[in-house]
Amino acid sequence: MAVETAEATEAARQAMGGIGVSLARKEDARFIHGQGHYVDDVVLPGMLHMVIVRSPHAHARIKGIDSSAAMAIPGVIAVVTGELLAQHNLAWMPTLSGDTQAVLATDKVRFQGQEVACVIAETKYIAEDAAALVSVDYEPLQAITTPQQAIEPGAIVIRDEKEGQTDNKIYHWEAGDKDATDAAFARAAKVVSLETFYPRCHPAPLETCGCVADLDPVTGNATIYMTSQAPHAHRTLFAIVAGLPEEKIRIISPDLGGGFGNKVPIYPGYVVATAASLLIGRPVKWIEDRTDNLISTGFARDYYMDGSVAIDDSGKFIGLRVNLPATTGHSSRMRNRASSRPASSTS
Amino acid sequence: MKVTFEINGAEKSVDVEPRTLVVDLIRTKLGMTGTHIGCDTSNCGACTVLLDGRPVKSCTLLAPMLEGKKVTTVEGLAKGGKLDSIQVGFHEEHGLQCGFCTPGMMLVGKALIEANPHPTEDEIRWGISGNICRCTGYMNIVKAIQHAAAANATENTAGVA
Amino acid sequence: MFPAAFDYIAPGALDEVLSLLGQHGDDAKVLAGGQSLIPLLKLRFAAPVIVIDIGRVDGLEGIRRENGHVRIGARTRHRDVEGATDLRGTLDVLLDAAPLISDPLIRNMGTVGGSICHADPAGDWGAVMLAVGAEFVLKSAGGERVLPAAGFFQGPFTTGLQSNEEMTEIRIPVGTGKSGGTYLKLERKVGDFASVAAAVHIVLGGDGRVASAGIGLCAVGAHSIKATAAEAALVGQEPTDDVIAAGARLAGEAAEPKADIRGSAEYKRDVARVFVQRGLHTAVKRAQGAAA
Repeated sequence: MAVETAEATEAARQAMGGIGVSLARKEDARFIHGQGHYVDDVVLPGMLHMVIVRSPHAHARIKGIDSSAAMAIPGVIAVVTGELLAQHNLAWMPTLSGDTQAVLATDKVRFQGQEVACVIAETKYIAEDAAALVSVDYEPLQAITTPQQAIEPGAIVIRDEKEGQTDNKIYHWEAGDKDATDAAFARAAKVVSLETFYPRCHPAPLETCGCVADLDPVTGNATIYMTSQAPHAHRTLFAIVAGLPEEKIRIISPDLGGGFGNKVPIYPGYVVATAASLLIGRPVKWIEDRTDNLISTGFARDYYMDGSVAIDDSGKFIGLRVNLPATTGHSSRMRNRASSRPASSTS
Repeated sequence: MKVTFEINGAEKSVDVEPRTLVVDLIRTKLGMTGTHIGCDTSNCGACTVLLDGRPVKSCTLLAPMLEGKKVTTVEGLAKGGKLDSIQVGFHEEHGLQCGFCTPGMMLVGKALIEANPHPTEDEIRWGISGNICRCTGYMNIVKAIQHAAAANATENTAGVA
Repeated sequence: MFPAAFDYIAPGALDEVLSLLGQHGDDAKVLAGGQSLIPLLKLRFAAPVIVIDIGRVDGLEGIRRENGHVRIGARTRHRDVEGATDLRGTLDVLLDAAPLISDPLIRNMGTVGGSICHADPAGDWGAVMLAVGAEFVLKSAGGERVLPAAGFFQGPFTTGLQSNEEMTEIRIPVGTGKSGGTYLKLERKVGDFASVAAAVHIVLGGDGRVASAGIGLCAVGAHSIKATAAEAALVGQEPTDDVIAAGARLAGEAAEPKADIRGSAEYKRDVARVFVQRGLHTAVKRAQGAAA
């Protein structure tokens, strides 16, 4: 009889669903029919296409941008530059971690692949043809490629546009109990140290980042289809940048073709597409190609870790110190300063 | 220029620039968005379609190369409201998460078991080696293709009996 | 990522292709399977005025044996070589190399002749063709010439093919001796170009000595490399372990690798040596087991 009871229990559990029971996915139907709805699948009437012109230099002064050849191509609607955005007070924007970043470079470029201009055209083929013709006059400056170079005394300051910024430290975070740790190391029977490099890792979802920005010129409502893992935070940020109340902004995050964290930061392309839609009065689609994605999307790691463990007589770990100079790129785009996560699990 | 070809059983004649990539032709001109663009460089297989029954990467084909050919996309898998066994396999074995690689994986799987009805696990892994799943669901993708192969075998046996 | 605009033409006859090539020269690019050309067009590394698609020209595909040669139509797909199992025992190296080219989808489109003419230093067929002593049939409006694989590869993406010429066929001499060969490739992942690869093809004489030896190296120089000193050291010798090891050492010395993300120059040179050594052992074993 016990067997029957067990079988009955199992049958009831299966019928009820939940833990330990294989569940059929509700999302599958549209995906296996090829009817998923990703941002690049969105087509709106009158929609234009945007392609970004990026800097080949890691650090250079922009002496001038000539977009006349690009504008001469039939089907090109606009070439947006940092200068144009600055006129609308849109050239810089906040990041999700309390820093600022350029939407389009104005004075100089601060990383290789930085967004310098955007071409808006009737088709993406035309936009890409025109982007190749945007001529940017650069004066290359000394580049910094490692955190060690960045903190050398006298190193050239990349973020010289930040008031009071005199070095290349962009972010500092401490956690733990310094006194207790010092005490643990003082009484340790043995201290083991390791210096290691934790290489940069690129999220590389199959679907790149992109958006379709649609500003209704009549109501002033902004509808933005976006490859976003954080639509609510993005709405707040858009509201700050555009000076609009949040209820005027709707961020739609449809199916995502993978994110792995890199769809949390806000990228200049989203903002320029939105500004362009506002200025032109038509929806604007921007979809990164893979080169865009690999060169400019938020990455993880890239840490030079210097760690020590304090160990007592019995072999027990009693203290841990980690110092971690990290390359954050040109700005701190993602990490939340208020984060209480321990250093060992940051990413 | 004009290009005439068959897609999912229907003949199409379209006017395109010669440089148009097949994936753009399918997605933009024909409005069939199940074929995806992932890497742009023929690495990932998100854009896989069948060309005369064989899987190819449509991001690395020019539209005029379709002249006179037969194309199958993910939209052509289900017939008359009935799912293809490969679609059933992917659903039953949880062979997908975000769904971006899924159309390509299913088309490669279908072509594989049509050419080789009883593939070994090794042959399946070899067969899908040109397609990337970044949600890393390869285990279940292999199971999904095995599921479809088994279902086809059962159906064929039933047909004979 | 899209190609810049170009004119496109898909002639139905070879004569028309040759006439167009004569007319457009360097402004034209021949499109076969497109698996190397289209990525170049998309990255805008290549921007031809006109693309001549040879996809509708008859007689450029297929593998047949004729007059002591295996003749491969230039537009033959990689997958068709993969499936030409009757080459086993005659040209093992082709059968071993074909499934290691890129991935199955690329092999469904990519062509042997296209890959040879593209002449990527990390392309697989170059090394194979050097090992088997292939000849390339090149046609132009003015006639036909036949160039040996040795000397054809001159630098990265640079060959003896003239801008008015079209490769129509690859001819590989197959003698009556016992032959064996193989292809060994190190790649970081499926679909990647070779970090290092080596093609080996030998023929044994009736006395069991090496009658001819072909060794081609891939991805260890500015172009596919024929390890001629190693080949010469093997010919006439009994293929003992020592002879093979000495030949492999010479092959390693023929490599001119550059350090990159796939490895240091020293490492790649040694992989070339090891691959040639292993390849020769396999080739000899296969030849010894083969029926003459």
